[in-house]
Amino acid sequence: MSAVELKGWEGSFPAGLLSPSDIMMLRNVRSFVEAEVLPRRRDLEASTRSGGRDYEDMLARMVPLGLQGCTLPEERGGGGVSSALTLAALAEELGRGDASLGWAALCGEAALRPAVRAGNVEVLERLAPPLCGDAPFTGALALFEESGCSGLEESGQWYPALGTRAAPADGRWELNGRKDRVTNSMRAGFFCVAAAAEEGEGEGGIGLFYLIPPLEGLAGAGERDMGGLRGAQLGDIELKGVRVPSAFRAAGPEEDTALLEDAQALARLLAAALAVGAGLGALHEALEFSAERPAAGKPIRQHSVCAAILADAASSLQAARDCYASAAAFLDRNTAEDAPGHQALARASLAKLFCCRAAVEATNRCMELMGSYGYVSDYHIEKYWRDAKLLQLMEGGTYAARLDGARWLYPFDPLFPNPLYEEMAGEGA
Amino acid sequence: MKDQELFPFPRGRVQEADLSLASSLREMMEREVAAKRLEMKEDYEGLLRPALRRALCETGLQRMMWPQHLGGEGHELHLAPYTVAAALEQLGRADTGLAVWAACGMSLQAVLCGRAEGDGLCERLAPLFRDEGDPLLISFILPVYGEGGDGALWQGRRLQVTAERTDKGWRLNGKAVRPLPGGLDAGLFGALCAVEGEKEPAFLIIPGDVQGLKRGPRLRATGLSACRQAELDLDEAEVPADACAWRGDAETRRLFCWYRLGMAAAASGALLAAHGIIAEWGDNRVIKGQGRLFKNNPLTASVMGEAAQETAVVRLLAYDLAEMLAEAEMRGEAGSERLEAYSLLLAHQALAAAERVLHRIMELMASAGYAKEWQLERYWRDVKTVQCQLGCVELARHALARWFFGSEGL
Repeated sequence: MSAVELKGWEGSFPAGLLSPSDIMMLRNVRSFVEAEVLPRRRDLEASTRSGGRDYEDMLARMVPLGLQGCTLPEERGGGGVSSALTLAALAEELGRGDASLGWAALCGEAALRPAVRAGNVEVLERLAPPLCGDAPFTGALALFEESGCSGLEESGQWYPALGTRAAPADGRWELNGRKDRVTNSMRAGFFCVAAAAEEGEGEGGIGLFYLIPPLEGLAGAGERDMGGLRGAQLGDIELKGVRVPSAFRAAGPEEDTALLEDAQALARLLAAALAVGAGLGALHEALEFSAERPAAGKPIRQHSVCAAILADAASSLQAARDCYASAAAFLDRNTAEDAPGHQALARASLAKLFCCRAAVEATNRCMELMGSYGYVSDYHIEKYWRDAKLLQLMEGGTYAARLDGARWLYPFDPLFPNPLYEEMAGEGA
Repeated sequence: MKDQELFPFPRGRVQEADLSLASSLREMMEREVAAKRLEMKEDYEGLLRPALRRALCETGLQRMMWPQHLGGEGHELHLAPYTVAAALEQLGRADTGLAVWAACGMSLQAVLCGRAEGDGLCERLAPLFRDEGDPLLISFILPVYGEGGDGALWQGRRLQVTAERTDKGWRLNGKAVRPLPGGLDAGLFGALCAVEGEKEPAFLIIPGDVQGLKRGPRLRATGLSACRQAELDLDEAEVPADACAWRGDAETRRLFCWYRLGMAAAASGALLAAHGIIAEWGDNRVIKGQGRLFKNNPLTASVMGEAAQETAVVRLLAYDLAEMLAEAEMRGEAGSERLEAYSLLLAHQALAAAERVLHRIMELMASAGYAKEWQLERYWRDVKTVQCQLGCVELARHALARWFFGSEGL
C-alpha cells in the first residue's frame, strides 16, 4: 500500500502558495521524520519516564533542518519564513512523527513572532545568535495562568484574567506572577510573557515581555505530569521581581494586545496542523495493521466496514488540512494587510477546533479498529490518540476556541452587560 | 447533595445487602485509593494491589458465588447480578482496572459455581478463590481478529490456543497469546481453545504456574494500569482432563454476559468519579472577569447537565443489564443468543457514553483535563482501553445485526 497521497500537502495546497525554498525545507523535514523520528517514536516518549534525554538529543539533531529561527528575518541570519502556511505544513510533517517534538520545536517561532512583527531590534539582536547557532535553542509563549475555566475568561478578555503584573522600575520592567501550561518550560531559551502592564487600561494595557534566562527571580516551577505530549515539557514558571530592559517589551500599549492575539493565532494554527499530522500518523498505523492482519479469511481492510472507517478518517483529515490551510492563508493575508488581529485568531481558533476534532475522531476510530492491539504501546496508535486529545485541550482548549471563533462572526463579548443578572446579584446581596 | 442522592440506586432491584456492600466498598476505596492518590502518584500501581486484595478478599467478592460446601458465600445467581453491578460500580469509581479484575473473577465464578457437587474442577479451584491473603486474578484468552496462521476460527476470529487431548488430559500450545485484561499478574487463565481434530472449541482453565507457560515482558498500555499486560507463550503446557470447564457456545456466551455486566458497571463507576471531579471544579472555580462560579456559566452548565444526563442513563443501563441477567439466570437462559446480543449492546452503549462524557468534561477542564493530578485523564484512558478490550465497535454492530436482522456479517 502506498500512502503517498496521504502525505501530499503538495497536492493539497494551491500551486505557488509555498515557495521553492519552503518546499525544500518541508521535504527535508519529511525525510528526517521518516528516517529519524518514526523509528524512535516509542523510545522518545518512554525516555521521559526514566529521566532520559532522548527528546533533547532529537531537538539537537533537528538543528541542521533550519527550523530553529526559521521565522527570523534573513537579514538577521534567520530562515526568513514568513508564511504561516509553511509553518503549519511543517507542523503537520512533525506531528506525523511525534506531536510533542513538533510543538517543542515550533512553539518558539510563535513566541518569536511578536518581536518579528513589531520589528523589535533589541530583542531580535539578542536572540538571533543563539537561534542561528548550532546548538538547540527554542522559546515559549507564556500566556496562560492558573484559572482552569476552559479559557472562558480569556476569550477577548485577556486583561482581567492576567494576574501577572509588569510595572516600571528604575527604567526597566519588573514582572511578578506565575504562568502555567508553558511549553518547553525547562528548556526554553526565551519566554514571551503576557502581563498586565498599564493599570486601568483594559485590553490595551496588556504587555508582552521577552525574558531570556538566566534571570534573577525567574524559575521553573515544575513540569506537569500529563497523559500525552510528554516531550513538550508543559510546566509552570514563576516570576518574582524579574527585571527586564524596557526595550524587551514587544511593542507597547495597544500594539502588544494585537501581537498577543496574532501569536496566539499562530500557536493555535500550529496545534491544528500538528493534530492533522497525528491523525495521519494514526491512519498510517491502521492502514498497515489492517493490511497485514486477517479477519474472517482476508485482510481486515478488505472488509467493506473497515474500508469505510478508513475512508471516514481520510476524508475528515483531508478536510482538516484544507481547513488549517485556509486559516493559514488568512493569517498570512492579515499580516500583509494589517487587519484586526482577532479576525486571524478567530479563523485559527475555528481551524484548531475542526482539526483537533477530526484528529481525535480519526485516532479514536483507528484505535478501535485495532481492537486489543490498539491500546498497547508496541503499536504507536495509542500515543497518537493521546497526543491528539491533548492538542485539542491545550492553547485554550475547545471552549476558548469556540468563543474566539464566534468573534469572527460578530463582536462577541463574554462580559456583555446583563442588567437582569446584576439586579439578581444585587438582590442576593 | 452527594452523588448517592443525585444518582440513587434502583432500590426496587437492589437488596439491602447489596447497598451495604456498595457502601462499604465506597468507603474502603475512598480510604485505600482516593485518599492516597497524591502521595502515591509516583507508584500508583503500588496503591492498587493492596486495594484489590481488600476489595476482593476481605469483602468476600472473590468467593461470593461459590457454593457454601466449597467454602463460598453461596450467593444465588439470580440475585448476584445486582450485587455485581453495585460492587463493581464502586470499584470502578476508584479505579476502572480494579473493577475489570473483579469482573473477570466474578464472571468465571458465575459460570462455574452452578456445577454439580463432586465436580473435580470446582473442588480444585474453590480453595484458590477462598484465599484471603492474595487476590486471585483471572484473565481470559479469547479469540482475536487480526491474527494469521492456520488455527481454527471462532465467529471469524482466531483462537489463540490449541489444545490436544492426551492420556492425562490436555496439551496446550500458543505463541504470543494476549490474555485480557492482563497477562503479567494473572494467577489463573480461562482460555477458549481450538481442539485438535474437533470442530467445537473447549474452555480450559489454566493455572498461572503451569509448566510450559512463559510470560513475556510487560507491554506498556494506554490505560488500566491495574491490569498489567504481557504476552504468553504456551509450549506443550499440560493440564488435567477436568480442566475443561465447558464445551459449546452457550456457556461462553454466559461468561460474556457476566463480563459485560462488569464492564457496564465499571463505566458507570468512571462516570460517577468524573461527576465528582467536575462538581468540585464547578463549585470552586471562578471565571475571572465575569466573577461567576464556573458552574453558573450557561455554556459550561450545558455540558455539566449533559454529563449528569449520560451518567444517570449509563447507571440505568447497567442495572437493566443486571435485571436481564438475573431473570435469565432464574430461567436458565443466561447463555442465550438474545441475552448475549443485549449484553453486548448495553455494555458498548455504556462505554461509548462514558467515553463521550469524559471527552466533554476534559474539554471543559481544558489544560487541567489532561494533567494527571486531576485524575480525569486516567478514567478517559481506562475507559477507552476497556472499550477496546470489549472488541471493536464495528464487530459488535455486526453481531447485533446478526441477532436483530439475521445478517451474515463478516
